[in-house]
Amino acid sequence: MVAYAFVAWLTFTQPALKPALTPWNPQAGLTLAFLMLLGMRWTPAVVIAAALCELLLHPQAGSALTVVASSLWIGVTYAVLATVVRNLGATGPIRTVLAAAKFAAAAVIGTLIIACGYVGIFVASGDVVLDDALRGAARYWFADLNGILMLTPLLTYGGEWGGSLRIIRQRWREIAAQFALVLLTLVIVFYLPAADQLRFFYFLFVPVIWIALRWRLPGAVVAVLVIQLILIFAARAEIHTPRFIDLQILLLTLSLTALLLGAVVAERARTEEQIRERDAALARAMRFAVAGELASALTHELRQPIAALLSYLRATEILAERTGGVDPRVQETLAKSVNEATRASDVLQKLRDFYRGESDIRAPVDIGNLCAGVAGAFQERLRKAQATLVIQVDPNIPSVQGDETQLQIVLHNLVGNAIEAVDHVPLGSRQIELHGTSSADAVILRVDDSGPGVSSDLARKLFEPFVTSKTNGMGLGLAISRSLVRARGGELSCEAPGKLGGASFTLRLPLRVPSHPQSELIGGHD
Amino acid sequence: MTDQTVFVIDDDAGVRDSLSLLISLKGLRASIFASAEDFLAVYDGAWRGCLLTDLKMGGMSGLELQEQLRERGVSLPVVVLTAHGDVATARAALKNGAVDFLEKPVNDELLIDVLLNALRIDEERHRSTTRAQETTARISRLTSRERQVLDFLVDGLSQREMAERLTISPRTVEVYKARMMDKLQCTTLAEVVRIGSEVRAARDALATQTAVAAGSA
Repeated sequence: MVAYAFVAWLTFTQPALKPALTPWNPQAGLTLAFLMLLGMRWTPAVVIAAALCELLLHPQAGSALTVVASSLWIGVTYAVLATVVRNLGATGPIRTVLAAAKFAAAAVIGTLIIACGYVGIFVASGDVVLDDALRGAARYWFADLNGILMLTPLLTYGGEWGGSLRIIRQRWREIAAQFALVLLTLVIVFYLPAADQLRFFYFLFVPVIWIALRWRLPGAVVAVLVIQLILIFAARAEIHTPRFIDLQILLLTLSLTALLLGAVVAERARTEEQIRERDAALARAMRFAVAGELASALTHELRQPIAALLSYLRATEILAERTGGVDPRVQETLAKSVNEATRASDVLQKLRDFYRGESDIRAPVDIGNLCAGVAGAFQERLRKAQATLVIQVDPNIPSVQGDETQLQIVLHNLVGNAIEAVDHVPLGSRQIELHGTSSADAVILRVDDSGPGVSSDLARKLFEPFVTSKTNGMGLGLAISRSLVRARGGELSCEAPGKLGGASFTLRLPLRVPSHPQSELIGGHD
Repeated sequence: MTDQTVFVIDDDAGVRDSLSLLISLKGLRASIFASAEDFLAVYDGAWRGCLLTDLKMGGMSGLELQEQLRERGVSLPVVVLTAHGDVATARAALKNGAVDFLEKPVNDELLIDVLLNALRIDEERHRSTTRAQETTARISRLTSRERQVLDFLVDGLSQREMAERLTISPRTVEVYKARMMDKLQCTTLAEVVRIGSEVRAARDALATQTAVAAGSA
């Protein structure tokens, strides 16, 4: 690692205080990444590397004391900067805008201090005159900053390069096109005779933005890096660059744009991913609950004929016995029939127990988040139905113990039903309200709608499976919801008409969940 | 026990028909109803036996039927039979006064055992009701003096003490006692005291019940 830092310094170091064509200091980025990845204890390596560079590359630069002082300054300040960046939580792959902004801010301030101190040492030792100092410090600052903004995020990206390589292999045409566009823009900016140096520099933003949108942070930073490298090549080829500091600032802007834009895209992609995952989890849980309710309803419906069948068979056995003289195989066959009917009944019981026994997660669920999450999921449907959803949750509402996904399913069902209900009333009066309050021992959520309400006939059996007022419903939503709520000792009830004239569903969730929920099965303990 | 009937109430035709067939083959009398409402509509106070009812039915549920029976003062023991057994319903049914709780499909021997037990409970209830009614009828034939003598006997008063309290001669007390014992068809003093205590206990219980009813209303 000492060698790594050493080589890095050797390879990239340019005379910082003399008018140089390199607009950046990649060693700054390398050093910071090096210290961030390996920790403070490698600071001496940085000091040694800095000293060696000074001695080997420009021995005429100053006295031994100056070299020692400047190397120590660089080592210590970079170690401090690395620690600050780490403590800001901006270490590792940058994925959020906040992390990118913190990182950029720390880099701006850190490199300014480093540049001032570094130039200050040379001024103090008399190696640099004061007139040049300000310009030198500014250049040094921009060069370091540029190097850090470009290299450090890339070097600390870590671990995810395998996926990136796969993407490059799959989408190589697009990447080649982007690379070609970068090249074309660079030619326009620096080679075209009509281009009065840097006037067309802004063209470079086009490919960088394109790449950032497509490939997020690493892609954007790589693109800027490529531009930088080509620029160095161009600089070596004696392309005239009259306003050196302008070029530096332009490159800096490009780096910052790439960094922030990449972070924005990454953050949004991750949020979308989370939403997709949550929806998928919800759909899975819902499917399971539907299967459970189906199994339960099926068990009930099939047990009736099986019970009748068994009774008839036993009756036949008794009759055959009484009649006498019947073929003994009849008795035998009847006994077998009884066994089979019993087996069918047992299978049903097991099926139902399987679906009922599942999921007993008990974790604190924040009611405010729960309501906001469900409301968020319905934004699109609410807009389409032109209905308003008002949420009023007591800010001091306590958390409840339970499985968040199950509670989501319940609220989802209630709000979803409310949206369908208000579809039957004229525009302008389609209102839904979600209230969250708490009593001493329970949290109470209420969903009111301004729909046509529930007829008293339907209200009686609303929570039974296969009962629905919808034309395209299975009639399982409320049955499932009530099962889920009761499983954790709560209650779900319906009043009609409610506050808004339509249905009103009240969900009562006790703060203390009983250890033996009510829906425990008798059959399960046979 | 000959006039006892098992009243089978189930909204599933197959279930009630097969159950009644099985019950009758086991030597019990069965009568079937398609709903709780049907049963209540034709119920006669003289009916003896027990109820075998489903819990979940189209109209009135088994639990509601139990409430109705209690309101009407019907003392027939109730056996609950359900295809959807869960602890909560079972507890509710038993709390409501069901003598037993069975799950469909039910083993026929278990069913018959449970039904016989229910019929035995009915028999006991019936016997105690009959005896209580007989005693009440006999007591009602007593004159107020004779009733006072009975009360004093239960309190353990001697003949002389009774005479003092009633300000009559001990001989007259003797006559009242003899007539009272004759009307109550008792031969021993112990028997008279037992009947007297029972009547007093029944009266106290009634008073408490009335007080409770008034309190709850």
